[in-house]
Amino acid sequence: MTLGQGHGPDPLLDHVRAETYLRLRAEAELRRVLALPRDDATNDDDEAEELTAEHGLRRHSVVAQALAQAGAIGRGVADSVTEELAAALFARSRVGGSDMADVLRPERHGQPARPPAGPYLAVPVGITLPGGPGSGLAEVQLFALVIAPDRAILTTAGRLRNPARKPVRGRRSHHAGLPFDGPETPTGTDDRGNSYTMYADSSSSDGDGNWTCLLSLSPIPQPGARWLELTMSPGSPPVRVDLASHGAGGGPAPGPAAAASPAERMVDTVAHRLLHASLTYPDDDVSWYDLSEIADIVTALDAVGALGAARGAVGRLVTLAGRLRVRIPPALSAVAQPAGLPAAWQNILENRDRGDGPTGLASAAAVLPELGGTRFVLAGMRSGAAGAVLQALAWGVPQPPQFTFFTDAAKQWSWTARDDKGRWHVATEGSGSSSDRHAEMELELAPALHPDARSLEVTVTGPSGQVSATVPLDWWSEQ
Amino acid sequence: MSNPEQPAAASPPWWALLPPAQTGVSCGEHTHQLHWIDGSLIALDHPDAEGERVLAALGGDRCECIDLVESWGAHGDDLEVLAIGPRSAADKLTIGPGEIEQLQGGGMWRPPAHGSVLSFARLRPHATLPARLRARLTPHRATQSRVSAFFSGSHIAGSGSAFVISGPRTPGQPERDAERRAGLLSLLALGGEFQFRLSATVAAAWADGGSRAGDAATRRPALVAALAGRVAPAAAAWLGTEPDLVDVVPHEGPDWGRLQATGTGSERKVSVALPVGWLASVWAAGLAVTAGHLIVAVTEAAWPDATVLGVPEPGADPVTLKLRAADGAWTRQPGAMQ
Repeated sequence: MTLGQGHGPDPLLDHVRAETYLRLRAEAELRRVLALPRDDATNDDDEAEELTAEHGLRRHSVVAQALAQAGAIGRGVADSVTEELAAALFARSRVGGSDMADVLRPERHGQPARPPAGPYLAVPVGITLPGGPGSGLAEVQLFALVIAPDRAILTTAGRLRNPARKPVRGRRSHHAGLPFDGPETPTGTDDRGNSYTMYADSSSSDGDGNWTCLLSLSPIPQPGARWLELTMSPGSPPVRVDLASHGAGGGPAPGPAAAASPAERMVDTVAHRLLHASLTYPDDDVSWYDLSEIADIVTALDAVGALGAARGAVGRLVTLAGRLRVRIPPALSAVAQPAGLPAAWQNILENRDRGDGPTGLASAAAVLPELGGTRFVLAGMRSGAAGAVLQALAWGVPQPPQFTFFTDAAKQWSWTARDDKGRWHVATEGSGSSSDRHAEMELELAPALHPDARSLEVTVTGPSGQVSATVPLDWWSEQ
Repeated sequence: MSNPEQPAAASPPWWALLPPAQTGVSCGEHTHQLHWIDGSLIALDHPDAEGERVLAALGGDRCECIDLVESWGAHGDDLEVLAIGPRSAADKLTIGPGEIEQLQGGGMWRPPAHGSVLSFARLRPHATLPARLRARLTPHRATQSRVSAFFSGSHIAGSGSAFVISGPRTPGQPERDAERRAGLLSLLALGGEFQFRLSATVAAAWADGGSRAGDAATRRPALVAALAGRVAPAAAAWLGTEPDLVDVVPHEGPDWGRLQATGTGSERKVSVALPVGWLASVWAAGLAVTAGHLIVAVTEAAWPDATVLGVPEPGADPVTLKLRAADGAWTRQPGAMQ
């Protein structure tokens, strides 16, 4: 592993210089905010030319975390300097109490629980059933069963009989109208005679009648169970899930491959986001995309001598932005010449307008190797003409650093995929939820899968490397 | 009371140009007076403050006055004071008891799980839960932006907060940081006069002869920022340039420092080296730019009179000025030496 890849200060970098840069940046930011008329400093107007105090604070936090990711400073220094700026702004009524409250909330510093040790299993199910009477569902699709040391989850989706007008999301939901909240919940048995109950761990509907749900099995099936039979509603035929043929055999999974430098990864992550946006926004118009944040990061990395090999990534980003007619901040152009795009990006751009994706559902079940204390499991896909959505479960996902939740450059993970017909895809995390132990997310893949694709290699890149898994695409259709 | 930050040299003590200050604070059912003089904060209504502190440390009742005095001492070398506190007289901090109450009301501060002295770090003072139960409760914000809260223990509804029963716990660094920062905000809420005096106290601790002078090299980035955040705006206004064009570094050595400028007009670049002690003896007293000079040192002080060294322009040697404070401003006295 390269020193400083998000795991602490890089001894090869000048930490005093980097911390001084960050602290002087905070001073400049405070001066900038104090020079704004008070209304401008707090008015959250997207059209405003000047960043509000709150946006400036977020921007500063992003830069601080980027320096930490690059190993130029410690994470504690990054947090402290950001928190001090937040406190300075709060003490002058330039940011609200909620921002300050977040700063003072000590539990936010907590590290996520590591994924529990033990086997992780992802078993395809792949069937659509009619919704049971009283379930509220017209149909229910069972994608995959994931059995981990601390939870067992059946990923499901379906159509509501009576769609609500408003989207609803719930964890251990008590929202009226969502299926599997009533007394008649699904059940299961295994080959050893053990009985299981299932309850909605989290569920949501989009208001158009589409419903997704993670059903939690209790107790967790023990290793050695050969099969499970799941009964989704009273009187319906059970669905047998073959566990034995999907045991954790075949030797150890390959570990993480080395990733690019942290700085390079941050820049490439933004490029991936831009690439994805260009595929998914109407008319492919992403001229609105704002690169000023990554420009600030690049400026900071360059100033403290931590940009290094990431200049190549900046060059790629500059080329991509130019191709997509996105405004390129001078700070980016100043540090790197436009560079050639990777073959994968070229492939994605060439296929951007295709609408020939297969329409169907796939179990797409696979366990990825643990990556830097985080474990991802893939558990279901729905594909359409323009793209696909892949369901992922995760353990040990760190909380985003303070004030950086909405920023592309601070994203921990970058997802790419390549189908067996050679078509590349880029994915971003769509809707999801997380706690300090678990996370669930929908990965939105674009462009469309190749119509004849039969498998998909999915790769996630994070601070400590990248891991991949290949999922078969055994399509089945909705009823 | 002697002050350990006083330099051994013959130069005036850092507080010599800071007159006494006083403010009222809520202490139990009463309004008590806190008095600052000669570098120390005193709780006037608690003549046996030391005894009260000992009793409190042994588990006795605490009071706000004693807590604040103790907190003042705890933050006497806290560089975060300089990161949050005022940069100039025009930089008015608006934080007051209302803002402190607002933060308390949010329920985001854990109750001190050890012998904390911070009066404001208490858990929702109006809660009606039994004290022994309260001591085991951890407040959680009711709304979290992304994280779904799990409540595995008994769930007790609160107004805007939920509480999870937890066992006794030892505070970690994050808790201590949050508590320390909350304490600092409470001190800053005492008002402008106290903000400058606390800032001066911290600067003196890190200046030559101060209690933390030996550690200054390890905290150089924070000291650079503390100096730059105060010197740059002052020098920029003095020379008609932008603060971002003023480069500031801490000066080490027996002389006053260095001041150079290149270029002209609003693009004039300035390079300044001043000792950290400048913050305590010059800046905190409101002397940074006085009578058209950048004041770089105090040579004699007997409030309200001062004799200082001031640089009339970049590149020039400093001259001696005699100043007098009146109505909150320093004015040059007739007959002052050049």
